[in-house]
Amino acid sequence: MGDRPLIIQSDHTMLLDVHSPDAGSCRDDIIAFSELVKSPEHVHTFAISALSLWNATSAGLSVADIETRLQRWSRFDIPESVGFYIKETAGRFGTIVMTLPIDPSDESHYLLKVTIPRYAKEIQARNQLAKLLTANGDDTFLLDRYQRGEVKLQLVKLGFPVDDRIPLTHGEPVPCRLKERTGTGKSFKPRDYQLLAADALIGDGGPGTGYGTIVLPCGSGKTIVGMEIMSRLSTRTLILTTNVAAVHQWIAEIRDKTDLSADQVGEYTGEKKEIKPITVCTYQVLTWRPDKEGDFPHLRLLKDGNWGLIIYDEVHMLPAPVFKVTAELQAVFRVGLTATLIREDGREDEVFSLVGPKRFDVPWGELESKGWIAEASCHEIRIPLPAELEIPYALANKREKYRIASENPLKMDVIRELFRRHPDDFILVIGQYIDQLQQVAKEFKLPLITGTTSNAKRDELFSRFRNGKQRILVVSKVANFAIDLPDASVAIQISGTFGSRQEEAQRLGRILRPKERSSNFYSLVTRYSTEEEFAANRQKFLAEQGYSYHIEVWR
Amino acid sequence: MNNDREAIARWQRMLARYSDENYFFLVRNYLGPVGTPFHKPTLTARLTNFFLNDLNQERIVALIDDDDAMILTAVHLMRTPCENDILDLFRDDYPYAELQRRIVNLEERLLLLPAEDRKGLSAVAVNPLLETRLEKEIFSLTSLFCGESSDRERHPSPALVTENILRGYLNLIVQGQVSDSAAMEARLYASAPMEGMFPTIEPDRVPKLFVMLRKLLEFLQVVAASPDGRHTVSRRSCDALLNLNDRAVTLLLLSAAFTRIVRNANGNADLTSTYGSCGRLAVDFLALANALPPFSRKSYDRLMRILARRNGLSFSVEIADGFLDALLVLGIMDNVSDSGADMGYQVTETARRLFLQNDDEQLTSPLTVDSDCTVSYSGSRRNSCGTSEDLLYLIGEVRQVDVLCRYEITRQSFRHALDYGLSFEEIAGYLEKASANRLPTHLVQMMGEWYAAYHSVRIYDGIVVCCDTRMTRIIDQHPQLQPYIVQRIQEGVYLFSRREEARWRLLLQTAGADMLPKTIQEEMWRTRPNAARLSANVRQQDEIEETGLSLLMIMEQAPQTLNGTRAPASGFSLTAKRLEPWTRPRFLEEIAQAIDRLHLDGTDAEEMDSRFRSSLLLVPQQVVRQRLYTGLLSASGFDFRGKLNLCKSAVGKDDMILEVRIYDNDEEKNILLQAKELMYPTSQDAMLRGIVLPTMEERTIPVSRMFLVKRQRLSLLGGHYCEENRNLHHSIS
Repeated sequence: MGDRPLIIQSDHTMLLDVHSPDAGSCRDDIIAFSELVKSPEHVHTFAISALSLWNATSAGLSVADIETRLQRWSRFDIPESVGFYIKETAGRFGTIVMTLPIDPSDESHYLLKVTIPRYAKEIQARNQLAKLLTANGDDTFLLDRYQRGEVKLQLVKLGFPVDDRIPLTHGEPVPCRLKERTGTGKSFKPRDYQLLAADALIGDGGPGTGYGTIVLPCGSGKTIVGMEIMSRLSTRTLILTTNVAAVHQWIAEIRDKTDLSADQVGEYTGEKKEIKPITVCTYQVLTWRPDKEGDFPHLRLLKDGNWGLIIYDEVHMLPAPVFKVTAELQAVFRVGLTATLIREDGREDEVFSLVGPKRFDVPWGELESKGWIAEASCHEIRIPLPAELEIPYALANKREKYRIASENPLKMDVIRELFRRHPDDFILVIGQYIDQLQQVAKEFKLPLITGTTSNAKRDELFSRFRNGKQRILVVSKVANFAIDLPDASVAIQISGTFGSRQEEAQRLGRILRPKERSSNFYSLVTRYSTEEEFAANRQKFLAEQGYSYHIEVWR
Repeated sequence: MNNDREAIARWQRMLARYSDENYFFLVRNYLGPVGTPFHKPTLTARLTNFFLNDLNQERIVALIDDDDAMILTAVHLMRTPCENDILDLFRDDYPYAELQRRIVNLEERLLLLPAEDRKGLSAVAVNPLLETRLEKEIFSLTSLFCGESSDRERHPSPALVTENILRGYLNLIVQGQVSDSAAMEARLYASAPMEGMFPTIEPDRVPKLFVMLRKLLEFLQVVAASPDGRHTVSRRSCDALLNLNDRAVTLLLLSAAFTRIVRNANGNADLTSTYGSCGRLAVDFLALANALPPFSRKSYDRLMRILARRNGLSFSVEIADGFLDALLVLGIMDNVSDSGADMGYQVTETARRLFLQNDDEQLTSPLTVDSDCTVSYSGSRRNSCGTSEDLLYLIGEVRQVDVLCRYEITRQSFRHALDYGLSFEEIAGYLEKASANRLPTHLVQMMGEWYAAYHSVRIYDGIVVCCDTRMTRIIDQHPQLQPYIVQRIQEGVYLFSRREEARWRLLLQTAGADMLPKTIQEEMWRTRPNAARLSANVRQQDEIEETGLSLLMIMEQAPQTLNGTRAPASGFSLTAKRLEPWTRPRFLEEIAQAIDRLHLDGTDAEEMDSRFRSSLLLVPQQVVRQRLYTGLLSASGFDFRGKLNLCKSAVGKDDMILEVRIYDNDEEKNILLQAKELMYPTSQDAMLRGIVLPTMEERTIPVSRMFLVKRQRLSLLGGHYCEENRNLHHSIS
């Protein structure tokens, strides 16, 4: 027992000793009913949650199977409370089933069948749910078809998972195949983990499959996973992403790696409003409205597009209005892609309920060790505050302190030194404050990309960077997400959004595309200031993924 | 053989404690008439043989009914209780008179004898010649504690306070999270993060448990509250505490909790001896309660009463309530419910297991220091650092105490470690030595940075501040700091205002010294007479001295209380066996026939019948003509002379009582009276002054109003019963 790799905690987390010879087999066994929480160097944490158990049971795993697996790998006795929790929680799945109505001519309702009378009473007693349901006998309810997502969401919030047996509707077919050779002539084949991710989402095609979230590190090719799913479903597809540059990247990738023709792929942004069998749009355009109280005119694209598949790129950025519409799109195949399931608004649960639960996750370190993402060294360079700023800093309020520290002018010297240290690397200088970025751009005569830079200009600069004509770019947070700059190997973070873990990870992600040379991520932090504390918080997610920062003190 | 010899010697010493009158009563009852001249050693030897005889023993045991068994078990557990302890224990189960009669009957049957080691007190003990046999055949916890069925709803068993929970709790103190403000403390412990940290403890028990833990650790001088409300730990005591195994920790906390309760109830109790008694009581409790199926509150009270008596502690309902609370809060006992109904209490499964497991079952493992600065381990850390101390509770911040315990090394936790006097080398050395893998470079670098920041300012004596160049610049130029600087002693050395320490500390922190250290030699200035906090501090120190109890002292003077023996060293071998219901033994027919053959009449017949019904006759040889009692045993109705004679014969005899039936306020009453004086006797009436038992109220009753008088024994133990136990009787009433 002593050599078994798994330790099960009373709070339903499981800790995997990754140095155990059986760690791999154990991980494969437990991932079916748990979620990876963090994966530092020695001990990986998995959590058993209600959703992970319901996912497992919906995929056919029984409580006994789960218990057997735990007993097989557990180093110590399984805490009683965990046994109780698994039985009680997993046992709930299947007690509430959503199906098509008995009357095939009823096209406006679905049927909700509750097999345990106590649950039926509890559901009726909840106003929030009662108003969405019409009793249809003692243990069945009717619901309007468009309320499918909302009912599921409310029930999940109450602790009742819905076994949704209504098959997803297949949209209009759009034949699509991945090419074996890209447009540029390179051979191309999705990697194993990308195929596994697509398998995990599509499953056996039966009820309870075809929707969910895939979590993969930045630079590991989430776009390829999206395209693999597109090719398997071969249907009208809407891809939602964070900005126009990312829209362009998606379109370029689709054209490069699929057999879809150019006129089958459209761009729906502020600039263009094309609706094609494959349409790529931004969250921004969907949630645009002429005035604060008005409707969102472009949300119709989502609802009325008769899509067979919706891909939510960077799903952790999904805006609230899109959530609302997503609740109405429960019959559509949908996939969320992200590197960090950390939402600053804490709405991860809604992502799980509406887009779908996490179907695939893999530790960053594992992909790094296999060479699928670049090996990255993280550095934190601590810089003293100039003497003339010490008193203004001491007298400032908390927010001002952070800004003074972030804009520490000595960071300019460090940037210069880093440029000198990496004469051949492609470098991104990333920051939070536009003034500071402008100073850097001015000081080193570098191009700057911010929110106000036109899309055309951005495309041009990114393109110059990609084709090697521009070695260093200064960028604001607009480049945090979804920008693919394959050759970038050095990122210098000169300031950030306070303690945002997600931002730190995304910024590191800009330099994780596998390449010949290893990558370096530098975070410049003012010594003995609040920036140190925020930096420590920012680094947490990456530390939990096994990255560690090498601290250098600038003298 | 030695045991037998020892038992015989004890028995003979016990016999020697009877008055001649009672001694000869016993001898005549068992051996028949004895002639003069008496030779007591011979008689004693004959009586000894009678009680060693197998057949006789068998018959003695056969005559023990369920009620006798219950009383005898209680006496066995209490070791040498006074008669009043027994009366007190069973007062709710029997009318006083009946109980009194039963106890005297057990004395007459020589099942209970005067305890040899409690001179001057009417203490009894179980007949040593029979004790082993009774232990096997008669003594039963079930008979005494009304054991319930053990088929109860199964719930997760509450967690005990283990070494790991203690480490986590001490860490909360080190991190400054524990306050002596009850409201703040309750809020902290009721918070969700606390549930996450201690997931094995049921959420509703967390606040109670940790408040109790703080009080106990303060009581044991492991933790001290300073006058400013901060709590600090004593490193030596913590080290000792964390080296105890889980069983010893449980015993220590339980004993300390009991000691506090007894101390609160009885302010002048000597702490050291009270701790010793409470420790023994705790061990006894665990041994007995462990053997019991779920038991009721009444049984709990009875158990505690017995154990308090056994260990020389006073007992009260408040003390029993306090003990119960401690047992529940510490997770040693829990409520039992059956279909939601409260069915009583039982020792928790975790406590049961703890006292069954071997010490070496507590596995130890090295620390794992991970790249995200978490430090984890499973099992025990006891003795796992060789000779070095366990420093984890000083270095990290507790994140989770569970199967795997996790701490995180943070900037603030590192500062606290430095404040406790650890050096960078000690911390890094400890982590290096205790961990299974190489320390993450990142962590070592960060600790180096924190160490440098910590040393940018030193504060001596709460007023002298020495800084590095950067902080000197800041202090010199910071306008808001200037009012607090009393004097610039030299470059980088300042005298600050002590009164405003909190304010200038805050300013220094926000100016870029967030690793501001604790004052060096803080304790020294606190003892100076002019310090504002002096009086409170002295008071606190006095209290500590007054308590006279500390973990270190316990470890030095009473290590046996912490030895955490696997089976508690109680000397009990009782189980919760169920006895067969008592049935009348066949040999009584033989005795009855012998009595018939004697053709007795009148008082002789009455007396023989009384001996027979009282189970004093075991063999036909005892059935001979002889008068053992003097005078009439009872008189009633118009037999005024008989009633008067009975009263007269009982006056002044402390070992006799009268059971009197009278009409009192138009109600028929039976009262037990110890006759003191017969006044104004005439041929028509007389007044009897006596003490009513058990209220000890003095009453004078006309003999003519008594329509029944029975004379019976109060005790066989001698004449000092009443006076010695006057107070006890008052407590019963």
